[in-house]
Amino acid sequence: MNTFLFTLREGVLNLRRSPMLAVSSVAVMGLSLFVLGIFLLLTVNLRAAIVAVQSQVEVAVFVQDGLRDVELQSLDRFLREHPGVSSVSYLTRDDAMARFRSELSQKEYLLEALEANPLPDTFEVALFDDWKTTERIAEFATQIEGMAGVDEVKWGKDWVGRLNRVIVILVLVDLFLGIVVALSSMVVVANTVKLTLIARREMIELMKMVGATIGVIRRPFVIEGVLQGTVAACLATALLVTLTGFLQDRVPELIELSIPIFAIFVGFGAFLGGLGSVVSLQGFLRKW
Amino acid sequence: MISLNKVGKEFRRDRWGVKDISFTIDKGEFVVLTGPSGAGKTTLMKLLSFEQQPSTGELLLEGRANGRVKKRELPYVRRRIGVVFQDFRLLPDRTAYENVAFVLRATGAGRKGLHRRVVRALALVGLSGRGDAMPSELSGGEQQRIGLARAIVSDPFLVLADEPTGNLDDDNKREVFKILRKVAAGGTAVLVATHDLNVAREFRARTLILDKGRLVKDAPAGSESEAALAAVAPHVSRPVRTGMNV
Repeated sequence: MNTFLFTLREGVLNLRRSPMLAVSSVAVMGLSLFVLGIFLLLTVNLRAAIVAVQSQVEVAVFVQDGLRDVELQSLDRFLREHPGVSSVSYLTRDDAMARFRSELSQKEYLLEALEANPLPDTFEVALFDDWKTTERIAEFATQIEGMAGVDEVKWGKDWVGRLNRVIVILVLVDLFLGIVVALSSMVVVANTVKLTLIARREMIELMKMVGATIGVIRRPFVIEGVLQGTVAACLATALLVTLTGFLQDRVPELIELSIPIFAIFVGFGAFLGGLGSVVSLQGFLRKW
Repeated sequence: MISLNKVGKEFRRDRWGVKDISFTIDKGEFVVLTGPSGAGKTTLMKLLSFEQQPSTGELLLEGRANGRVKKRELPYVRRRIGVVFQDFRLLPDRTAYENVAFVLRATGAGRKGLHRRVVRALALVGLSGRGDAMPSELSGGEQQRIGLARAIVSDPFLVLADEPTGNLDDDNKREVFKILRKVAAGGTAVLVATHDLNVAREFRARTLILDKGRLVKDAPAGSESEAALAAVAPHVSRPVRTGMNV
């Protein structure tokens, strides 16, 4: 406790003593974090895009003609109670035709040749996300196809498989980039902190000589690093918000980073600053 | 008590900084350590301050052996040793008072009594009125006296001063030696490594002479050691011409 105030004061003083060094450290850290933030922004939007595309995966269950109400109801109940199904809507052949017509709009004349409505009654089934893999949908479709009253089950077999492969690749690339960006910002921060330490080598030596414990020697630098990291992350946040606003004027669909993500982001900046100090100090204190 | 028994420091194979050094220093003793450049003075000082560990022999400070103290306990040993540097090493960004108080704050000494201890240390070096001055506003002699105050403020058992007068004129050298002798009189063991034998001789202190890493003479306090000095290490007792140091 006696040393706590001392180390806190020294940490804050460190920043004031060499403002240029503090400013450049914050700038370098801020820019690294900004790059990390851009990556986060891309990731969030990539995920949203994947979810949006995946939500369009649907299974259409075509029902045989002239099915009795009882059979229809039991089919309906089965679908609704299935664990993989998130929602079911029933479309009569007339509804289906009406929708078809509206989708054709100007080209309704194409339907004039039809004598009767060729479309079947349909259950449109939406699945939960974890059921949207090729294997699980295929399994689901086979199960439904075997049921009484079902004429045919349709789903974008090739399309879903390809989509899932693309998603896997995108997520891996994203993860790889994330690791690279995070690591490089850590290296940059550690090097920046090392500059601060070199500037303060005399003080570290002196503290060592007068019998300060490693903890007491380290703490002002960790406090300094945490403060710098926090300020840097706040700066990076400001830049990111500005960038997002600018982009949203052009791409309105762009999703901005949420406040909890920013909170984690600022926390990460503080952690990075502190960690940078600890890692860089290790070299200094090894020869004890 | 500080005791060395056949202490040696080998830097590389068969390259010894010091070898076979044995002596003891008691509480309140004022001891001068001298010898030509490269005789091993600084190595011995680093062993005594626990900065380096001996390769052979045993070095005990208040019963704790250098080399067998756990890394974790080293800071607590260092608190028993006050160090004075040739180049003062004051922190330029704080006042003289804060430079002295720094030791107490960094070692977690209670706030109670801190002011009293700093004031007492400043008074002992004769700089009571200069506490508010920044190091840059002080003369070299004054800066070194602040360095002395910093070394003694935590009431150490031993004060080590490696060439404390190397950057000072004769008047200031004398002043520094006077203060160090006063510190010893207060019960602290003081060891000064120096080239300034002319000044050191005036104080008739016990003198340890190193040459080529060996302790060649341990002349007791008040002894007429001049002849012995000249005989054993003639290059030491001769005044060093500044031109030769370049």
